[in-house]
Amino acid sequence: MAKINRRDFCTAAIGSAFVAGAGRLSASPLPATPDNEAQKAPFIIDTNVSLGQWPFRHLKYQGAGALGDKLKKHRIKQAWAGSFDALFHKNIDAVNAALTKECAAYGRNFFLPFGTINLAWPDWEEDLRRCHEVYKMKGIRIYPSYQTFDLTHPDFGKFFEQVAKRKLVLQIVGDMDDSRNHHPIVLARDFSYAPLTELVAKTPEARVQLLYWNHRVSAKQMDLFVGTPNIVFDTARIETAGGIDAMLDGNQHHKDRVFTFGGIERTLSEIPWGRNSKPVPAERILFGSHAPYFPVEASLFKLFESDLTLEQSKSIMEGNAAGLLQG
Amino acid sequence: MNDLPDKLSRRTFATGLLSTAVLTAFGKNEQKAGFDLMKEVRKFRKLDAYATSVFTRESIEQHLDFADRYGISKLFVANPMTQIELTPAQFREHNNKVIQAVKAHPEKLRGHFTVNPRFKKESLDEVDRCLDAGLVGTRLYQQVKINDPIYAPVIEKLASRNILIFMHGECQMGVGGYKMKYDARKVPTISTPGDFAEVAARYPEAMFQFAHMGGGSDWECMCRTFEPYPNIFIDTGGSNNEENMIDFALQHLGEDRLFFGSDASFYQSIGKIFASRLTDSQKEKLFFSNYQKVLKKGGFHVD
Amino acid sequence: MWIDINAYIGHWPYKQLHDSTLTGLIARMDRFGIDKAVVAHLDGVHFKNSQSANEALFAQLKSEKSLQKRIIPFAVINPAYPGWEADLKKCISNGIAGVRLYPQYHDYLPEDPACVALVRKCRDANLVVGLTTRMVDSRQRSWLDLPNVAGTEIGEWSLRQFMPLVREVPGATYFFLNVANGLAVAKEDAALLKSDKIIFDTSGRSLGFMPDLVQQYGAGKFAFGSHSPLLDYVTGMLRIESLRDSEATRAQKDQMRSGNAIRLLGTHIR
Repeated sequence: MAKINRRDFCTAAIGSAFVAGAGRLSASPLPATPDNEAQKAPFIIDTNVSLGQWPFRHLKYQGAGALGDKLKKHRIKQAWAGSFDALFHKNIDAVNAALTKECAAYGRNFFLPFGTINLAWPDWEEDLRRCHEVYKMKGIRIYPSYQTFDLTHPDFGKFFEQVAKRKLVLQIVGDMDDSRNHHPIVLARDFSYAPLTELVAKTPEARVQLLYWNHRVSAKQMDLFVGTPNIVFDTARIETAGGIDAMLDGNQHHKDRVFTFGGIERTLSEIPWGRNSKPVPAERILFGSHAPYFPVEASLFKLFESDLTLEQSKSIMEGNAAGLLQG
Repeated sequence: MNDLPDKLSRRTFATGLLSTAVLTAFGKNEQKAGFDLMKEVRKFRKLDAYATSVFTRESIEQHLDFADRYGISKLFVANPMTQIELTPAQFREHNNKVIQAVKAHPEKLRGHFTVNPRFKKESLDEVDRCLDAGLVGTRLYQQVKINDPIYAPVIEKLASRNILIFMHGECQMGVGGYKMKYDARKVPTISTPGDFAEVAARYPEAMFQFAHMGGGSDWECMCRTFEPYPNIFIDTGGSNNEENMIDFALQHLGEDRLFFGSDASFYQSIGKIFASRLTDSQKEKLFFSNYQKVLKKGGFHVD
Repeated sequence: MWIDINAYIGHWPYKQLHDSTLTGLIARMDRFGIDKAVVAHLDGVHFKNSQSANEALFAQLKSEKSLQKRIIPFAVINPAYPGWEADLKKCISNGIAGVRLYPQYHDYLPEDPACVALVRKCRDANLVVGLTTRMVDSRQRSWLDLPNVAGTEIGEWSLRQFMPLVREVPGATYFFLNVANGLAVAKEDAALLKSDKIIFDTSGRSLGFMPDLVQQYGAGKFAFGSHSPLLDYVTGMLRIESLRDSEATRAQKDQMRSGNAIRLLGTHIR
């Protein structure tokens, strides 16, 4: 099977257009007249970007105009966008309306708005209806660590069912930034993805994607999720060189490695972050950059550094996301 | 200026980002330089649906002063603000203060009465006594939640007489059952918007007034909770005067469910209305007609 | 003439603001006949590196030259963050008339040495120091905003928390903005507040009955401020305009409309 690694990426296998997008990541736009190789090269669907205002820092590519233009330079043809405002505003419908408008204003269906719902607010079912019927959204993105409800909320099961019934993708964000970097006034909360296993078992038509999930999924939990096919993962916070490879092969090269966290040495199965021991099929991993908070180049590099077959790369870059939307 | 429809339900408002159209309509209400604020303020006849709860001489005098300053025809006053148990003897005493104040200033004051439904018979008798003495509505407080079944006899009696049921409400985190992990150390029986919604659904024939949009509560949460309940009205009273508060209320509740109320914060309560995008006819409704219309149902309207 | 000494442009993380751009502010000023406004960038309140918000304000002012005569820029400086001295210098070179400080949001105390040092520099550079007792009423705040909630163990701030700073640098010029939770300070601090270099804007809840306040503190103590776009634009005006002639002379009202602001902002007003 053809393998694709960084060297291949930057030479023949994918082509010069990809080199323009990846090899010279930040500087050059795509060539105006791509050659044949470039035309064959896969595009990317970025499943994790945000519009709106991040309150604690000026972000270089904030807003649809700056972010869209930036992503396009890297061969990203579609981006699933949530709104930073969704984390902090209480009147969520206004955020969803503004997000829809901003995505539409950028045009060409480049940004797909992913609205949000806050179960801690009255009338969330109406907000969900609007996301689906009025704003024509394809998915919902929730942020339990910021929105003061979690997966054990009494309404969560009902919400989960309704999202699935409407054939919407449900994205559940674990974190937005490293907790060590939080602004002093931020009181982001802990939560667990654990209830998902049972919920998904009850609702087989559900389509769930975890975003920036890695710090909230233990190795044990990850293994449970591997057995739950309609839960998929983004790449935004997969760390270390070869991180994607390690997901794919169940960390086989890390089985005997001793990880040190907070001065305590732990084995693979003991570490708190998402290091699976069961292989995660490539079909379960979707490119997600968490731009503009993270540089999009970081996620591209993760992909290129990985020892992937061409088919696996295409799946992660585009095919899996397209498939998830189609249901 | 194009008036907005009589009622903008949440569902109709939502269709296709209709808000753009509404805001465009608002945009025609631009005020030019040379804005004469006091002339604008005095242009509208006003009923203060939530005037003082404090019956010291100084408080009454200050309220009369504000009424004169801003052209408020009538102040609706009451004396419920107390942390005490509110025994029958106590609520009678409080209501007597109101009766006396109204007698002393009949041209400016109208009175509301308070009761404690834990004392059922005494409360029902007190309603009759106060109505006979010329009081025109309620000012209920936090002794019992409004959706507590204990309130049923009082609510049913008031509804049968078409009396507006006006009660203190809060939508603050850590109060009355709303996000109690932020416990603000208040009595647990304060009514929240959710409590009002429940009782309004139970008694669709009754009319409720939630005090007060600017009372430090989360007014966005409040308006959204009340949206489906046409028998809940809300006044503008309180010290909070955030930009967009009035416009938001209009968008979610329509123009017929808003009353002017000061809750002794006259600057903020009036200022935020004139900072809003309300048309003159909407201001007229808010300041006078809406409340008058509700009072009229029970025969309590002003001349 | 009217000058609003307490306006912002920018975002507030917890709520959708309306017309919170520079052009939105100008439209609001035009609607209500306001000539000039002292403006800071709201983003700086939550940015740890508040300088990027200041630079955004300067960039907008440079691109909208026609507005420069109407906007009096203030910087948001975070003295708990490295490089604030350099930030202040850059802001001075960009023509600021003062700074606004947000100790609660930037996680320091007004009496912390860096804050005192900053205010001394402001005093020496003839810059006004804007101190805001609260940005929003804590009772209706977002669950992600400051932990200070009225009625709980850590309540909201009032003037009292800023007095140690005023004590340290009594010669600086201060605008106390959106004053809430009372005007009372410790007895030994009351004299400090009488300084003619300290004024209160008219947006705050604690300005309850203006006739009494004007009588007690004098018309020289107040200046129109809106705290817009967080608070409405009219309430601060109403506190001045609804004073009867017997309560404030025309000259006194003019002091509050703009005279006091002009006196303290001095040559910063173009």
